[in-house]
Amino acid sequence: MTAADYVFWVFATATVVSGAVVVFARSLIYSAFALLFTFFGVAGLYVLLGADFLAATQLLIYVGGILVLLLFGVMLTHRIYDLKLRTEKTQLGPGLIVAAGIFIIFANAALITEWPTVGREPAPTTKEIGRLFLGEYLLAFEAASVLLLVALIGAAMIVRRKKDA
Amino acid sequence: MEEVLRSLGLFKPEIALTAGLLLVVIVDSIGGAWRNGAVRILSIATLAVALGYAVELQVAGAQGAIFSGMLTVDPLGSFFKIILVLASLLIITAFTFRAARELHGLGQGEFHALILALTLSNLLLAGANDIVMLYLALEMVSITSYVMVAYLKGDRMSNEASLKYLLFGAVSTGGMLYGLSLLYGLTGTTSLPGIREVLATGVPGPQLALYLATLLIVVGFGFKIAAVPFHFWCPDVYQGAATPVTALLSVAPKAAGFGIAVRFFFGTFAVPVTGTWDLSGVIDWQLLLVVISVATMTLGNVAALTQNNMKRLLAYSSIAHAGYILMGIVALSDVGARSLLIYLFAYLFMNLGAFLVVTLVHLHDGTFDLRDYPGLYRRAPLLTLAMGLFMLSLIGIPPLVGFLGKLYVFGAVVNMGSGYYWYAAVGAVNAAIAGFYYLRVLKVMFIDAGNEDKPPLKLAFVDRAWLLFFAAANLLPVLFWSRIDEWARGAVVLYTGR
Amino acid sequence: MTPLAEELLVTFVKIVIVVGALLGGFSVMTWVERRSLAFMQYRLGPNRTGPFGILQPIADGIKLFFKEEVMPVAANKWTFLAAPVVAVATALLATAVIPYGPPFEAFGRTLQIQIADIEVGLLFIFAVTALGVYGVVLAGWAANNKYSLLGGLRSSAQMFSYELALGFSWVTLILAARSFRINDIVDTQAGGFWHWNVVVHFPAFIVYFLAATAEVARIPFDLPEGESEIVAGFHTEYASMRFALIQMAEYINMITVTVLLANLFFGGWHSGVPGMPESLGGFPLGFVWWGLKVAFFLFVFIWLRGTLPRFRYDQLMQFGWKVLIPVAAVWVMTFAVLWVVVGGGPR
Repeated sequence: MTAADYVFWVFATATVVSGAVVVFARSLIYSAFALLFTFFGVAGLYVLLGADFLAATQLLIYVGGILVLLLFGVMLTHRIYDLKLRTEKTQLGPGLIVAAGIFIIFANAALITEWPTVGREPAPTTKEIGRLFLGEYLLAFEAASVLLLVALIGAAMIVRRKKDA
Repeated sequence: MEEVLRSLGLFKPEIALTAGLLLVVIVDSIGGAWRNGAVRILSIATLAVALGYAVELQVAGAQGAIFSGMLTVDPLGSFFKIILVLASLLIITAFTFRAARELHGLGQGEFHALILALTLSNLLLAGANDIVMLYLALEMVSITSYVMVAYLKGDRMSNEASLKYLLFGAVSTGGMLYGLSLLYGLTGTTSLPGIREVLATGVPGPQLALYLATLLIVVGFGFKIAAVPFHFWCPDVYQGAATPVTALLSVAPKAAGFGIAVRFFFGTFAVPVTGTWDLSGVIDWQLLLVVISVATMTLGNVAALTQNNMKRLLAYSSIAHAGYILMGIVALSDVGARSLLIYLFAYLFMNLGAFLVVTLVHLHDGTFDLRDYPGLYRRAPLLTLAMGLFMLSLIGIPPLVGFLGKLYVFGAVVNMGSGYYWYAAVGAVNAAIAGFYYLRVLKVMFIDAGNEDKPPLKLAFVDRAWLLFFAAANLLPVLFWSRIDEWARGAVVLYTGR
Repeated sequence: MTPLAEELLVTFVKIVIVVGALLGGFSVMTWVERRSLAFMQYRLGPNRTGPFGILQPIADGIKLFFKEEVMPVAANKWTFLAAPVVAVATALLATAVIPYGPPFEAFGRTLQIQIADIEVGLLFIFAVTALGVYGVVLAGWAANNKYSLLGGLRSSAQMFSYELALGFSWVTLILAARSFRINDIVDTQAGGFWHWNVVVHFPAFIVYFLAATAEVARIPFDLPEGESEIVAGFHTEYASMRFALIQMAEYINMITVTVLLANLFFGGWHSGVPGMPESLGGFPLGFVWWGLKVAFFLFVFIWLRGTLPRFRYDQLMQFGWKVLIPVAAVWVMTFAVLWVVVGGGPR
């Protein structure tokens, strides 16, 4: 194994293990904290794949934004951070079987498929992403801004009290 | 730059909608007592302009890929655009804030902005020609829909419906995204025509990933068109949302979902050499779609039998109709695609009409319960007659527009050969089952006794006019049928280039 | 030595230098701050330990080190212990991509005191400053104290809001330099001081300065620790070395934003006077200019503290969202248009 392989396994393990904690932790707040490490692991994997811009954005948006909001919600919501979460025991068996089945199928698909790969040296991606956003993917870029506008309107609409409307 | 300028010429409906959306937001935030009226007029004007542009595209028979292959413009897409914009326009004009009791006292600016945004995203979805755009448009449609469903603030049903919708939507679009990523991994391109070119030559090695990709993508479409088994959100959402929203959701996103499904199956999984409709042989598409379609129409109809809430009843009915419309896709032919277009066209008028009646009854009586409908004929003859017409049209009684839709889809299936007669027969049996509950509504309204003490419903003039309009839209098209048929025939042209 | 080992050694040395300097800077800063504040308020400040009280930080350190570790009974143990560490770690992370002074020739190679010169430098800083919230939120939550929680929430809301303005203020710099690399941005300011970004991007500078002050929760934006309302905010329950760690994180953050201020807006190690020699007797003069700028702005932060009163919380939020962000956004648009029409423009 090369050094990159070791790093990959470190990140992959961190991602998967903390992901499991997110699912199985019985306190919402621990789930949220574990999610932090999942996001970090994913960001690490992006770095390993040479996607520097994406990695920084992942940290910025998910760790610095979404997760903080999540924690905010958990902490501000009365009594929710002491709440013990547990799904019903009766669903444990079937759930495990289905999850295991899906895992086997998808892992198998990922392993046996002959993926067409393009060998490429890692290079800074920021410039290229900027060019694509304002070139080939201009419409998607603009549509995303409309989507964000709609999300903003929606959030404001939902949060506002009825009498202010 | 030149590409952008060229594209803008074929992008006019969407530009109009975006501009209208921004104007509505600005006007609404300026405030003032006049803003509600201004916002409404602005929205209607925007949709009318967008409709005009869509018709212009359709008439011109414009074809081509725009924005570096992000979107496709072709007669099929233009047909969908017309239906989608028309649906929103009818919702805004016929289902006013005055007529929808649930919306009384709620902000109008956001409502109109959201409808415009939903229309825009529907158009983008129906024309998507690239995985990136496809997914983005799908999310836009979904997120706008979630918000619209939650529009009734403080109403538990509405909030619950929105949350359910969100959870179902997140899972199914998540699955779809996974499928799309597999497809990208297999083909190395995000462009749908590009994917088609790669798939046509075949993917080397084991095909499992391709199977998974296609299945997951079907899940995403299935969610949007509320096909069984991805329909669970549908009744609760339709019941919880405000009726105008329900009416819009039952038509527009569904039509857009069918639009992109047609494009995806025929434009992406097809073999370019032997023709548009010849799907590449990775999966037995027809069998898969037949199973989904049969399950959808049967479950929708059977479940609708026991419903007493009119919104739920219409929700299950709309699930069943999705099953019929899927028949048009199963046929995998020009005839099939044409039948799909005609069915959607018919469905638009009969379904919106039925929802308008439900809205008006709720406005005056404050109920969605079928058990409160007895004696309605005596109290509001015009409304009841119109409802009768819509119900008969939904069953598919000649010469109403619903009959023509059914005629076309069943015809398309029979055209496929004797091996599919049973499929058409299942459809016919289903139409018969559907007859039970639609006729039950009629029986309650016309025959059952009750509510003798209640005064007659005094419908506003505008509401009467709209009822007449929808009734006419269900009755009259048969007179111009050859022209509509011709229109639909001319619309079945797919642009599959880059 | 193999090239890899050599590279690792160089990086290690850099890390030692940077972290050591920051820790030293932290302790000196506490003394400077207390002394200058005292003078501004007609007091003397700590002047007993050593000449001018210069050994005061060491005395403070010893005292904090030997203090009893106190933890509330109801606190969430692991989170309570982890929070100060997280705070310092996230604060140190951001310092990794900042250049401290000019590149110089030594040991037969070109060196620069910068641990990692990465392509997306500013984006990385933006991302990890966002992480700074965690130490505060964890500390506030873990103590299981109402004041702490309120302080933590206030602080995270504040950092969250001003971070947007902070990021916005960088956009035009990135645009003009066509790069996220901090070294590239510094190099666009070479030549006379009229090339400095503070001149070219004056509105961005104003936004950055205010947002950065708020980001590190210095007066007048120190609501998270508003002692008249919520005792000491998120670190109410912290004592001894853990308290010191939190203080350290705050000072490191302050030093980070100041160094960035000097680098991004005031020409970094460029003197601003055309024709000034690059080095004097082999010593790169860039360090002098750079050091002076950093020292001055560190002093400005203290000066502000001695001068201004505290905002009210609603004013703080109003200011952030309704003034700073719109100003920054309008400036981005204005600059983009000017850039295309008047000069440069995209290549």
